[in-house]
Amino acid sequence: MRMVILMAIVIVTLFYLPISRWFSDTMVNIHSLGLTLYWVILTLLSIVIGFKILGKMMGGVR
Amino acid sequence: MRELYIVVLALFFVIGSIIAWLSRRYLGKGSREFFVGGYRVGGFISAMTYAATTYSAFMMVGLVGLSFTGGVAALGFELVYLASTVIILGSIGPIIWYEARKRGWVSPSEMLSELYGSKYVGIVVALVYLFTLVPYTAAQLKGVGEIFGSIGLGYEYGVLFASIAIVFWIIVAGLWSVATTDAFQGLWMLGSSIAVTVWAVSLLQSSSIDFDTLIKALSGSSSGNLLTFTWTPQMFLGLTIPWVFFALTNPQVVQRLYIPKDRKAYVRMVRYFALYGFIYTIICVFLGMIFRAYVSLNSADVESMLLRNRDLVTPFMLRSAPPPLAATAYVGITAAAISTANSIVLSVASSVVRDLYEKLATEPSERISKMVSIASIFLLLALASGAAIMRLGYIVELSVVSSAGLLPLAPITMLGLLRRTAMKKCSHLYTVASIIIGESILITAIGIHGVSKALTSPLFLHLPSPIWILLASTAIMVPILVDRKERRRN
Repeated sequence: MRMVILMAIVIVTLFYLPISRWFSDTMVNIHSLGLTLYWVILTLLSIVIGFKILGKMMGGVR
Repeated sequence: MRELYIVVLALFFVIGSIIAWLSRRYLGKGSREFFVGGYRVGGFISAMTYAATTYSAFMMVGLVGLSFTGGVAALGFELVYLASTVIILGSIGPIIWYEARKRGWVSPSEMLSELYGSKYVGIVVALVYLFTLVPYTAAQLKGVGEIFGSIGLGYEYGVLFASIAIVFWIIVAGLWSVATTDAFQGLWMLGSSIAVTVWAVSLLQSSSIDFDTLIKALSGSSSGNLLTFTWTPQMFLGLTIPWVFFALTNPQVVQRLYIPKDRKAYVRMVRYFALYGFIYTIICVFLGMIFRAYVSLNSADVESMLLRNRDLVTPFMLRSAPPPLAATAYVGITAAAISTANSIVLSVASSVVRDLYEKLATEPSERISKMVSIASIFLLLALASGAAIMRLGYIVELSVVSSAGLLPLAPITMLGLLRRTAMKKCSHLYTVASIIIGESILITAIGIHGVSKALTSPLFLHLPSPIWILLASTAIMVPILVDRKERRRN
């Protein structure tokens, strides 16, 4: 559980990586929608992790 | 357009009022029923009220404008909120849900008051809510006023209409009428924004703007490459930090964690909210960028005009839309404002009742509690609508700043829940100190940079004020975290 929460904190922190001009430009150079997809994928990962944590907190309720 | 908007708005109000009236059947007696639905709300309604409360008129107006002017950075700004909220709802949210029904919490300030063992914490927090959320509510009313004004119906009548809808949909059945009308409004908001996006895409097609042309227009815009990060670090940090902790600091959403009727309903609330938030965010950001591409390729004059005032982007865009679609979208924005405002008013009223009356009165009575509830609702709305009608300067800026004013409640809430079974003695002193220092930093930032730039200008070491508010208000709470001595049992 601690690992999952740590992952969650790391992922939210990764949202701020594009503040670095180098990172942002690199993403856009890979693909014009690179930065867009980066944030979308991070969000989806966060949602999956959030659901995982929720599952453990709520004891496997569906 | 004016007549069409009136017809659609009337239909919206009638349907909403019928829904509110029918929800009276669920309402029981007492403040627990009125403010938190007796902790008996189903998963779908819980999710929709959470979504409609969270997502205000800012989405279809403010966010569309932000993405029009600043590009994809607006997506990162809004998605970091969604990501952190889902994580909070998954981790800390269940603790709040469980403890609320175990301890009988009604207001979020009451929660903090009990966790820290002092009614003074509840009083201070209730006052913070009043100071920060009245401007936020006024900004929602102002939004509806602006819509009425732009259509030629009169700004003041818009504020009046929104206030009447808010009061009526609260008074009818408290949380039940608010939550069920939120579900109706949430569906309207999402549906109308999807319809506008479909129309916007057809606008591109009719102008022969294909995907490659769209990308080229955005990459080579007059503001630079809108597909890269165009904001300053201070702006991104300053605007996102308060939003990351929104789910823990804003009473209208904290209170919604109390209401799901069982574990299954809570899990459904989180899942449906995540889906709604993801779709709605993508739509609003892409709408702004699609319209930017369209305008930049068709009219440089219009582009310059909209870049100078980004709040005009959505109204200008809707002027080109088919009138029935524009009317429906305008009502969707009205719904977003009303659904957010009525949740805030209900939630802040609950703090006034529980922490400023019931905890202070020697023998609180249910009859007087009810009168205080109604009086609080009317008073809050009177203050907010007064501020909106007088068009007090900086209302919108103040509402943005209010999110930072609530930021000290983030470490306070997290630590309070972490230490909920054994709290350090005199912890309430640290809590009050944490709030005072947080608000002092915010006031200092406002004094130096003004209201509109208080969150996004560097305050110290090139970092904006929200970072320092969070750091300082957390640092003061560290003795509670590290304390290993004798503790008060909760």
